[in-house]
Amino acid sequence: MRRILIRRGLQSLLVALGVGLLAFIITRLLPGDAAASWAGPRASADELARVRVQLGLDRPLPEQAVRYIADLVTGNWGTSIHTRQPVLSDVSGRFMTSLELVSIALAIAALIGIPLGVLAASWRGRPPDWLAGIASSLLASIPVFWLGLVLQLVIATQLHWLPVAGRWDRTLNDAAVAATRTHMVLVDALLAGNGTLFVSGFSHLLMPALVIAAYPIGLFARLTRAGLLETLGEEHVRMARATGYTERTIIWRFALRPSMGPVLSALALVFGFALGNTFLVENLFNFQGLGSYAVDSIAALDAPSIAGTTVLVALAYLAANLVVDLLRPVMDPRLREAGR
Amino acid sequence: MSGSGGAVGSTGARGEGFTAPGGAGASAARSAPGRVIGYIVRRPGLAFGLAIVFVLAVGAVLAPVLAPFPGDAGNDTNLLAALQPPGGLHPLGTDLAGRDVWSRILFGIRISVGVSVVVIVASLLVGVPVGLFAGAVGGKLDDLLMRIVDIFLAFPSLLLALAIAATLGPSMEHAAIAIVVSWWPWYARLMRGEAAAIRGRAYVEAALLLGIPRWRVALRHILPNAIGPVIVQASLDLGGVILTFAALSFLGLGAQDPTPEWGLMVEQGRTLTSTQPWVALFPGAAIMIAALAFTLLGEGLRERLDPKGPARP
Repeated sequence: MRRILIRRGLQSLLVALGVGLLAFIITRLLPGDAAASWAGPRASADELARVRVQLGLDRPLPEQAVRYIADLVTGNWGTSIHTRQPVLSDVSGRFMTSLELVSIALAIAALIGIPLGVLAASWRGRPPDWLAGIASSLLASIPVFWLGLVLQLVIATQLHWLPVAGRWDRTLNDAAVAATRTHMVLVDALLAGNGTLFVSGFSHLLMPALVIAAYPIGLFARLTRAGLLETLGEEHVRMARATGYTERTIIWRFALRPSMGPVLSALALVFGFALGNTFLVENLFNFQGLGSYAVDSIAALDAPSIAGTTVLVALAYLAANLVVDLLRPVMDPRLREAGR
Repeated sequence: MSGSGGAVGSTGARGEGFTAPGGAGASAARSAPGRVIGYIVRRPGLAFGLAIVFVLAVGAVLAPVLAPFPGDAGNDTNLLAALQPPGGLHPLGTDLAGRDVWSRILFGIRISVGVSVVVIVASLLVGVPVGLFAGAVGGKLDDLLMRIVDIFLAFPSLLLALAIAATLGPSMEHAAIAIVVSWWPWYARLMRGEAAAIRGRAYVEAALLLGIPRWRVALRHILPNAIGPVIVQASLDLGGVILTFAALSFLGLGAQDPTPEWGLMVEQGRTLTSTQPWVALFPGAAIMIAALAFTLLGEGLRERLDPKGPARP
């Protein structure tokens, strides 16, 4: 087990190094002169040359690459061109905001998707199973940015059930800014003991979270169904059935947990997918997370910010993969034996 | 791909053609095409997917004939007819520049679906040789190639495509290249796994012992038997590529106006959804229908090949 851990850790480190290298290539290939965009449009030739030296752009490329990666490791991620703030503090704050959104989205996906899969498996081959299958194929095919527009039109503009956009009610602005500690509105509201802010924050999170949850709902349903059908044929389930438990008890108490392997394995992938989708969804909902930050950076051709976002998301994705790998033996004791 | 490669290769159980079900010649009475049709009819999802794909193909080819205003997919504008609701001359209404939405959606098949097909083929052309090489050769080179693949797969694919498209600058070609760069590693990894599994088979070792060069064995014996699952995965991914390409255009990094790309059309109607919803809603629905068709098609094919295939977004 420990050997596997060490090997996976080393592998991840290697991949992280590659990620840094790729980010470096991105910053150096970006159209436009980094020094020019840094110094501003009215800079003189002298000033430009000075900025070039200051940014290290006069050095040979391999040296620049090594320095870039060393800077990443030591936490110097450069200065954003469009916000003029250190990139690391920019992206880490925005990341927390998006992490809250993605977490709620994945919780919604699990709460709807897993029961849907159980439903499909227990009605295998009959209409509820077909309907669940159709729903999951449909959810996999909806463009998220379009789903966002449709939900805004129906749920917010027509029905007035949820707010159209934003992160909290504008009247709560002062309270929200005062409560900022973690960049997660729900956590901030809890820490400040502000119930109104919590409710407002949650109602604003719900619609973008639903949009991001669409695909994971379908995927979780599909994986749960497949896993459950396999487990239901196994010895211990037949044993339980022979003992006279009802089918419902058998599914929820004995079969579901060992069937969660595929869902757990897919969790890291889905996390990365959801994080990527914040790029498409956040601006729609005027949600100030990492996704909208990245889109603004792209519009401003802000190389340090684009690279910083890319590195951060890749590292988060890498970490998620590692965590899932470590969690699997915890969830399924059979894997623990195999790991030794 | 030469047909004679199957002489020895057909001992491999997987990756056979469509017309050879596992149960051998069960129904001698029915012809091969008959069996294919029977197989499709028993799967409404697959049949539905095939039907939409057929309609899309017809629409793409006959767009100049079917579209009431073919010029609206190009540089034509008609500001006097801007934002007309669906009905009459314009079955799906007109956009901000007075262009017929239905005509633009029809011509958009060529862009949104056409480019996605090209992207998938290009990704296969990069990924399959890399995977085949790694799997057939093995050893250190195999390790190195797969670590490179790992680096690419360390990014969520949409994010990598976005970063590359932003780096190259906004255009349809750049968006297509960006998606290829982020998708080929999946096929390299899948192909490598299949090829490595086949490399150990007796008929491959026999061929090598006979003195047939390794590259020839890889091309004639490993490739034909390993490619099946890769092709199925590619057809399943086509829906995902359509969504990704539309997403890049939606963010302004893909097709540019006046190209009738569906994602771009949604973006152009985005601020109008509460007042003139048809401008954004119909192109978005087109994306969904096309993506759904290829997803259903791919699922039908995968079920045929491997009932417990891997699932990934």
